Amino acid sequence: MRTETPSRLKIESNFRLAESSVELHWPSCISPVLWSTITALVLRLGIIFLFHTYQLQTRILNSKWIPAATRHFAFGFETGSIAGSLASGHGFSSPFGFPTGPTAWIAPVYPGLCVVVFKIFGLYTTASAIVILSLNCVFAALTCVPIYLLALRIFGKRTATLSIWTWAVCVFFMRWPTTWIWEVSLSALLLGVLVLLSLDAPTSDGQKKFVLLGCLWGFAAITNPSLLGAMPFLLAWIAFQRRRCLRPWFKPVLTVVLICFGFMLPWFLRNWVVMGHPVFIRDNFGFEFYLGNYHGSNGLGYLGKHPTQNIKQLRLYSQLGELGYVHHFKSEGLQFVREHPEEFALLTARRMVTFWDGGMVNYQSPGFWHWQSWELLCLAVPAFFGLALALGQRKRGALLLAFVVLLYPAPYYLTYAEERYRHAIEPELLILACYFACALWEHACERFRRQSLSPAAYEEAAR
Amino acid sequence: MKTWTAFFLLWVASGGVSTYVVGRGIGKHNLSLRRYLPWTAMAWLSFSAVAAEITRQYLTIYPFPLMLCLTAAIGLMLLGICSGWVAGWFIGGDSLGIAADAVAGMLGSFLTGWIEITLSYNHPSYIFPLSVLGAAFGTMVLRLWARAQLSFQESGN
Repeated sequence: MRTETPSRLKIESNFRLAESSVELHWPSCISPVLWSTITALVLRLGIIFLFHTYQLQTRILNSKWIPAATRHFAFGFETGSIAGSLASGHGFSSPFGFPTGPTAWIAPVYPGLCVVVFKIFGLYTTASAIVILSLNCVFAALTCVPIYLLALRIFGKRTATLSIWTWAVCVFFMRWPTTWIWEVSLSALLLGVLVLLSLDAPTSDGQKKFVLLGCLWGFAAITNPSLLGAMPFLLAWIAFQRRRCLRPWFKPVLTVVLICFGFMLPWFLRNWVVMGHPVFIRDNFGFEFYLGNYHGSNGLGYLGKHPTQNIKQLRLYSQLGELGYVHHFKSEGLQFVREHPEEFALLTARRMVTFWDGGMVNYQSPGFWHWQSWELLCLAVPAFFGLALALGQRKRGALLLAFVVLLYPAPYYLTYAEERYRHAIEPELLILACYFACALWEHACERFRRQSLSPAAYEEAAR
Repeated sequence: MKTWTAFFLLWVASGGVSTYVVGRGIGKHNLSLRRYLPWTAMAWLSFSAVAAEITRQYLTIYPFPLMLCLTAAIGLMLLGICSGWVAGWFIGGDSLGIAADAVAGMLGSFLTGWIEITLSYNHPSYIFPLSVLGAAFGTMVLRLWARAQLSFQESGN
């Protein structure tokens, strides 16, 4: 039997207050969420058809350096190649379009989704490209739901409304779902839902929510393992909050962890059996680590050394096999760290800065949709102000957002940063930026109203 | 070694001045920084050593004259002081004083400017606006922290 101490009652009442305000407004939530979701979907689909972005996927790569088998590589890159291999009955293999045998180069969920589309609409067809990009748009549009609920619970209705409409109509957030066949939009949706469920977890009584959370973490892990970077800290936050409320914390957290590992287990076993070696989810970390870390590197991942861009590397990959290839470059990467620890530390610091200030875009060839780094800063800077403000005002859940935003990029600090890697945390960054914008607006109104009134009149107005 | 020492001393001095000014502001409210001082000093000295080394490495690749670098550092500090004052005025409410706002701005601007110069791949035109934002961020963080401390004191704990 739980003891009803005053501190417990006080903490619980704070939680309940935050939740009851949400529940009271629940019917009025549906309308803005529904409309913003529909708007987000329509605008994203509009971009696909207006700019024919599906043609980016269906273009044939014609060059004497590219083997005939890899000419469809523009269609989803490694994801598309693996999905194509699966759809043509060769199993989860050949990540570079060239028959190279079984792989664990990327996580299985998104290629699995592409296979379903390939089976129905044809292999590397225009219809398949449109359907997969449209599915991305559905994921992006559905992200409005966790954005609204998270912002509503942590910061209030104004921030929530501003956040979803910015997500829905701002072109900045439309690039990845409409131009890239990759799991970035699904990752953003999953992370948003995970943070939302984690926010509710401290006050949950039954096991149902923890089972759901475990399943979702497992699913997220086999979609994009980078998301797992935030998992220990989110679970620690849940455990700490439950402990503060004098609720059992060990069993629920253990449930989440066990179910999550249960979800990953089949893929882990498949990798062990097929690859002949235990591979957690993906096996290419060592190679990606090397791409960003070698003597003389700028830390931004030189793709000229990637099998997708370099026929010699592709041959080496075929010769050594995937695990041998990754092991070879992992050893080189680690040797670089041992021989040049100062250079590695400097590169890591550069990557941390670059991830946030967008400097990496100055080293990328301008593609169909090219950004300037100031555009990336326009989200990162207000988000950091919002985070500092939320932490300073001790908003419930602000720490949760801080964990997600600051810890998710950890693998990219060690390997290399690209702007698409930020998309998974862009909903959380947007909420923080919108919170700062709302707080700034309110404060500015208050500040200038106070200045226009005499002190006595201001006191009167304040009363 | 001369470059490293110059920048190490610059970082240590800016940290020392900031701690002194913030400490004075806190002292006026009968609060004390002493509890945090040894840890803060150790962390700042370590950071200063690393920052000076990064600056030295940067200057081996881009060998700007030392005087030019120090002038740029002073320019960043002045920019930060002005931006800190303005940000402090805009934020309003309880504070540790104008001087504390200015040094927080100075430190914020100095840090951001240094990061953008030595560690970023952005164009040089980003240094000025980001340093202003860094100063505003520094002042805001100081004020939020100070308010938390003051409200903690007022609540009688």
